[in-house]
This record gives sequence, structure tokens and C-alpha cells, in this order.
Amino acid sequence: MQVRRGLLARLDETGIPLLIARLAVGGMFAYLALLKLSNPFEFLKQVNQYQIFPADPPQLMNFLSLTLPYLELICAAALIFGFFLRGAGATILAMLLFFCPLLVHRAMLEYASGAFPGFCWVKFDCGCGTGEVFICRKLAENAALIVGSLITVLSQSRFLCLESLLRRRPHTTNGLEPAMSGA
Amino acid sequence: MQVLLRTLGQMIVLFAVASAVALTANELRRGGREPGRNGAAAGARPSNWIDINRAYFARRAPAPLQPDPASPATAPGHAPNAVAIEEPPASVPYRVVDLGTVRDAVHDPLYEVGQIVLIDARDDAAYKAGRIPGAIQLDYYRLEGYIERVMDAALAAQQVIVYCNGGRCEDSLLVCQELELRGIPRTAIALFKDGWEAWKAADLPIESGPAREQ
Repeated sequence: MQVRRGLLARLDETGIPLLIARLAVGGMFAYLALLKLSNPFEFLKQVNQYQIFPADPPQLMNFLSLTLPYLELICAAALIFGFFLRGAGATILAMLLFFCPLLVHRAMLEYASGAFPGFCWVKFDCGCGTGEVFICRKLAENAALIVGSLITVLSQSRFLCLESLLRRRPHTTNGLEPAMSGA
Repeated sequence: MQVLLRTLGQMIVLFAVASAVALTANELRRGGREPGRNGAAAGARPSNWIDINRAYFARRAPAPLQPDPASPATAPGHAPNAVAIEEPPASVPYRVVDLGTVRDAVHDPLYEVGQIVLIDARDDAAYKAGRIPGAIQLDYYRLEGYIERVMDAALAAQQVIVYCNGGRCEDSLLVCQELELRGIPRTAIALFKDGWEAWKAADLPIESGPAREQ
């Protein structure tokens, strides 16, 4: 276990896992956010389909439908450019963890309707902006995004981050000299 | 603990910034102007402005439809004008018409003179890409650009048939509610539930491009 922790810490120190996670998760969320922003009413309709918020009074559902795509875009920018990394990663992680059970629930309802031969054949527009998707593929994508956003939250590295460049700090966040971190 | 508080603080800042940007962008959309579309007056509101206070999906449950034996329009099995009707199921308070009925309505002389009106409840892109010939557009989410023209046509007609994509699409039902709220009698409103997908699948004639000037 100690050897494994040392290996993970050394890998983290290189900054490569974090950089990959930032670009992958940030890039994906930027793309999805822009798709949602190109047709805000489509996203509003999809949010309504999940029946999480009351249709009347409408302010909460309308406000969140308006705000969430911008939140995704701003968090994506934060990850890509490397500022507010933990906050952006945690926000994306929270959205994914909130959304995935809803997705599974809706897929189970679709499957129970008998319209699909198997659970992985269930296909519907989940409101992500990409139109209809197969549920298993969507869940696999979300699992990868969850892993990526966990890396951005837990990583100690600040390799190629605007944060570290602006503060002129070494590219670790634990306050120790780079050689001592993760030892 | 410090890291946790800092992370929470960053999350709050990100949400606050996103909210501010979203509300500002929405107001900018509202404040901008686009040329009139589909015959709507110039200066109609831009297409993507979300009215925060509008209950887009609230179902205003109308009273159940009571058949009136004295009125031929609502007598069961009687087809008013040229459009056959079915008794509405409990979950849909409007008459539901099928593909054959809509096809017959499009060929009816009453359709040519505006006594039967077909309303397409889809957005601009879908409407221009292809629609039932002669259908006029009413985008439920961008009412201001369309409602005046549609109400003029609907008030002058004996029968209004509304459709959207079909399947899970609920926009046609929402448009039916909106028309009723604005004064079109429920007996004059019919819902083509199978919608555009059914029309297209049957290989029937379609129209595309901007709406014809009337």
C-alpha cells in the first residue's frame, strides 16, 4: 500500500494525470455547454422531463435551466486554464453525481415500459445536448468524467496552471517544497 | 479543513459568476431585436430569451369535455365540417385526429380558404426543414414572434389542428392549451398526436423553406 501511494504521488507530481483530466473533462463540458446554449429551450424541456422541479411556480426550474449551461462552461474554462481547480472539479463532480442516478432512474422507467429488448438498448435524449444516446454508453462516459473530475479535486499538482503562474508558486499546493510532497 | 472551505468558497464563486453571466446574457437577448419572422411585426423579441416568470409547462387543467346532444359539433361519432374526430382520452382534453384525417383536411376546400388551419408547434429550424403543406408556425417557447398571426388565422377558422414531432413531443398539447386560453373554443381545437414523424414516414407531400406570405 505504501509503495502504491508513493507511485500515485510520484505520478501526480509529474502533473500529467491532472493535465489530461483537466483537458478531457474541461473540453467535454465546454462542448456540451455550448450545445445546450445553442438551444436553451431544448435544455429547458429536458429538465422538465426529469420532473425534479415544480412546473409552477416556474422560477426555480427556469433559473437553473438558464444557469447550468453557463456554470458548465465556466467550470470547463476553469479546468482548461487552470484556476479554481478544486472548486471547478468539485462542481462538475457534484453535477455528475446528482445527474447519474436520475439518468439511471429514467432509463429504468423506459426499460420497464417494454419498448427496449435490454437495459443497454434503452435510448433517449438525456438533456446533455447530444440528442438521443444509449444509456450504457452514457453511463460509461459519465463514469470516466467522474474519475477525471476526482483527479482534479484530489491532485496536489498545479502543472501548467494559471493559478500557479499568477501566484508564482511551485507547482504543488501543499505548501511544501516539490521534492518533499508525496514522499 | 482549510482545503475544504476553500473548495466550497470556489464553488460558490463559480455559481455566482455563472448566475450573473446567465441572467445578463438572457437580458441582453431580451433587449436585442430581430427582424420580424413569419409575418410577425419587426422588433419581435429575440428567439432565445427565457422568461423566468413564465410557467412554460404548468398544466392548466380545463374542465372535462361534456358532450352536448343539442350541438352537432360535439355529438359523438359526428364529424364537424370535413374533419373526423375521436373522443379524447382522459389524459388529453382535446380531440385527437389521426394521419388520415389530417391528410383529408389538407385536401379539403375549407383548408384552402382558411376555415381549417394547421399549426406547426416546432421551432424555426424544424419548420423550415420540412412541414405539412400550408401549416403555419407557432413556436410555443417564442410566442411573441408568432402569436398575433396565428390567432388571426385561428379565430377566423372553424377547426384548428395542431401538431409537433409526435412521439414524446408535448409542444402541440401546450400550444392547444395556449390557444384555448386565448379564446379559441376547445371544440374547435384538435391534436394530431402522431405529428410530423408520422406524416414524413407516410411519404406525403411536404413543404420547406420560409413560410408563404398570406
